[in-house]
Amino acid sequence: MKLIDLQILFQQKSEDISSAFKDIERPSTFIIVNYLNKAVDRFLRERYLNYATHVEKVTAILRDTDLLRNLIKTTATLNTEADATTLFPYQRTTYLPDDLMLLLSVSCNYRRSAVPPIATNNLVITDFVTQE
Amino acid sequence: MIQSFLQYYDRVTNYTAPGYENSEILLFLNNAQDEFIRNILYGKENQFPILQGNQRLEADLFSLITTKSISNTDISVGNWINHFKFNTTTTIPTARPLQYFVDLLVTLTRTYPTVSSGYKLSCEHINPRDASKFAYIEGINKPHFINPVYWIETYLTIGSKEFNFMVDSYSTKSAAWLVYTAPPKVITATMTEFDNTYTDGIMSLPSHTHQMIVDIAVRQALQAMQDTRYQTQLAEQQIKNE
Repeated sequence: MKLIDLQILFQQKSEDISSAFKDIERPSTFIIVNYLNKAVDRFLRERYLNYATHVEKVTAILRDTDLLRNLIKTTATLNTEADATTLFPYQRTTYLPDDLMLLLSVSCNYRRSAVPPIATNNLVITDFVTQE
Repeated sequence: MIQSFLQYYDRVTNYTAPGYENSEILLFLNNAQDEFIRNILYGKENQFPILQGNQRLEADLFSLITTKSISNTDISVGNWINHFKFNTTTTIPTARPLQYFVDLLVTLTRTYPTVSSGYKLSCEHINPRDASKFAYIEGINKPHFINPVYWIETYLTIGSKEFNFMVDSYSTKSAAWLVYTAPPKVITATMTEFDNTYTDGIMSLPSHTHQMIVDIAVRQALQAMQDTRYQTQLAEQQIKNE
């Protein structure tokens, strides 16, 4: 379905609601597109993001992977500060992509030259998926 | 017509009402003829005339209804994209002038949905102040509507009108026709019977309408007497409601 199809359906629906939308209160294409975009956001929010926990949101999205295949990006690269290479790897700051709606998972490649010894029992393991 | 008027008038008043001169009767008949046309065209609620499917309009006014092709040279481009206009002064023949507007027909082709052979559509009336909502304005509005829209923007002089019409941004206009009624010829004492022509001295409306015109004329004559016995106001209302 193209924008013009959505526009026609939008106009038909609005004219069904009130005949004023046919001429006196006729919305322009600009306004129609605005409402369509709001509707898309609302559809995604109510269907996939209206849950209490991150795990539930991710589960709802993964359940409709087929429907959302054009929205799920698996190749988005985290942005890194320009001078990040001068810092130690664990100090690097990364930024999320601008067009992100919900983070599903993060993965990274790394190499290890040696296994550092653990002197004391201070290792903390964080499960990202449980974070809100 | 005068004879019919007198017969009907005497019958209704039972010969008790004062008579009228021929010139007065002709005045009533001409007024009645105009009101007859207005009643059929606009009805009791003064709605816009609907030609298609309106059998009474087609049967009673066919002799006055005129479909005039508007030459493309008479159609100028308006302020917006796909906005056109024409002036009745240059397009309507003086031999058959415009009295009441009935319809504006436009032939067009479409790109969405694709219609390559031109088809004729009746335009829908809009208020001039709403015209911009139907206009193609790049970046703001790319409207889609099936029927072209029209409005009368300027009354240039008495009897002359500027018609504006607009097709949507997916259509291309090919041709236009104006449908209107010509004014009926003035009824005179020597008027001859309707013969399918539009000529001075010959009745403009078909024969089956004449009794209805006389009926209206008699009621108006009774009303002119201001005699409440005939309840003419009620009768007038009934005629309008028919």
